[in-house]
Amino acid sequence: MAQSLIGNRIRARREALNMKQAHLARAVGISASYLNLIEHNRRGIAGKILLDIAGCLKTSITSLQQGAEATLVLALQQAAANTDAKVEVNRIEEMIGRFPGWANLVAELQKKSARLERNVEGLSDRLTYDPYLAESLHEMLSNVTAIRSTAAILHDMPGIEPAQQARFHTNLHNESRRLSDISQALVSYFDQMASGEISPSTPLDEFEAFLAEREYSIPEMEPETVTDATIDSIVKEAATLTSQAAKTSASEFLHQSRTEAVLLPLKAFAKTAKQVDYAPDKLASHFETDMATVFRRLAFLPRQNGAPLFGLVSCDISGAVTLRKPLPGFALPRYGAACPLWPLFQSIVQPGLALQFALEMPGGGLFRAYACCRRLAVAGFNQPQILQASMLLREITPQDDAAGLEAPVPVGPTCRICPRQTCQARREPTILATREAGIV
Amino acid sequence: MGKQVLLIEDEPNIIEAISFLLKHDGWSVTSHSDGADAVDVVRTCKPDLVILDVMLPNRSGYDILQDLRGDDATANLPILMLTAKGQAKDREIAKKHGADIYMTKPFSNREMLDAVRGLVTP
Repeated sequence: MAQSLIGNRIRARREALNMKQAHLARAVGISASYLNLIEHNRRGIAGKILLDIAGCLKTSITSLQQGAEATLVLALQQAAANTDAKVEVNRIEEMIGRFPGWANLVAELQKKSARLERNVEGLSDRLTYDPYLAESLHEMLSNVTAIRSTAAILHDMPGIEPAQQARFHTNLHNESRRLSDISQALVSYFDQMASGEISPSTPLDEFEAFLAEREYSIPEMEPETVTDATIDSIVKEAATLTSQAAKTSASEFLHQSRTEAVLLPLKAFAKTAKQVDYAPDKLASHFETDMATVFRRLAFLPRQNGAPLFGLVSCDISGAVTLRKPLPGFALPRYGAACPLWPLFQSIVQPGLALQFALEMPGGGLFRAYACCRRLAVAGFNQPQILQASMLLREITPQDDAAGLEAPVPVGPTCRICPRQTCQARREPTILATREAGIV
Repeated sequence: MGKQVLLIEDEPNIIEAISFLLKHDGWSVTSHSDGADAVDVVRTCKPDLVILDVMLPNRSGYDILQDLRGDDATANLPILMLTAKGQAKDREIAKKHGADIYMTKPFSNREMLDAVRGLVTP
């Protein structure tokens, strides 16, 4: 991503440190002329060289990759992915450089369009699958059936016994009242939808907005005794949680967090985590708990000084994402399927086995990924497995031991905006050109 | 005494209206409101025709239909499905599971009588 911009940032950072080009080149084991090509955006850069340069420049890979432009590049790539028009995707950086105003406008329009599409999808889903609507309409049709059939009997069939006639009249009265109540409730429901009181976003969207609003940690869950009333109160007061499904997800998350806070008390966990450099396996062993619990605890730990940032993504056996905490530099696609090469999905076929990989994103960002898959319920004979896979992510920084780093696995965000053309796991063509050097 | 219709439906006022209509037309009608034991009730009653609602408490009408079609004793029993779902896919499901007729609520009394008479001669 944004290779040409990385070159600019490397040069700017080097000059800010008053470092000679030759000195930096020598320090990372490349020729000065090659570094010059990199800095002038005529050679791509990724992997170990990028890591070494970031180390020499006392900065992180992410900061070299992700200037203010990175978000813009991603937005423009997504805009290009959503159109049949022939777009010069390989000149996005040039467009940003030459026409920043237009680039921002396109990105804004892309965001707006995506938001509107989500609203339409949400409304469509609601009309199709909303249990309240489905049940109300079903009840309404049953009412109408009873009324129509009973009224027709009274009208078409003379000589009905008075007692039977009276029963039919009572039935008509009761059914018409029920119909009236349901009609009013439905009108009110549609009014709420129109006024935005009922959000068309999905419950997962609402739940994620709730976590983001709280910066992915819930300090109220840390005391030794947290009552159900506290959890209910947090859920009730969260303005982002409007649907019952989202409230249920948040409540389940908080109950789980409360359990984890008891199993892994904040003070002891934070201290031990620091001692073992936040290694999940060592923490699981120390606290005698499972890996998935440690993943969650690390990802949603109240922010500690000096602690690394963690990302987390969980999915079910179908690959549907159920929980997501983003990590800068590691794009987690909001909608649609993610890269099938992520260890998250590899772990589903090896339940109980903990996996650890170094991953390289297309822009050269390096990440440590830990993944595991656990059974949520014990299945009987011939019963389907209920599994949950989780992947914890941590950026590999220049301070990490690069010499001990195994060859990173090349992965991507999602096929549509991944430049690795020859990837064997590719599901669909990419919209990106292959100009980005070193990426296949 | 007329031929026997078993009405499996959970809305009491619909049961009363359809029962009255069919009895007036010469049929003997019994009704049942729970999906859980509906298959057993059919086996016990041995009706000439079943009117089966799709949305029942505890068990779907489609599952009941599938069980009845899988049993030699009821494989050819005339079954009229009733539902508030009028979508094409619901008709497809009913047809695939072996319903003889699929009627969408609300229906007229005439449609109901014609459907029943079309399946079984009174």
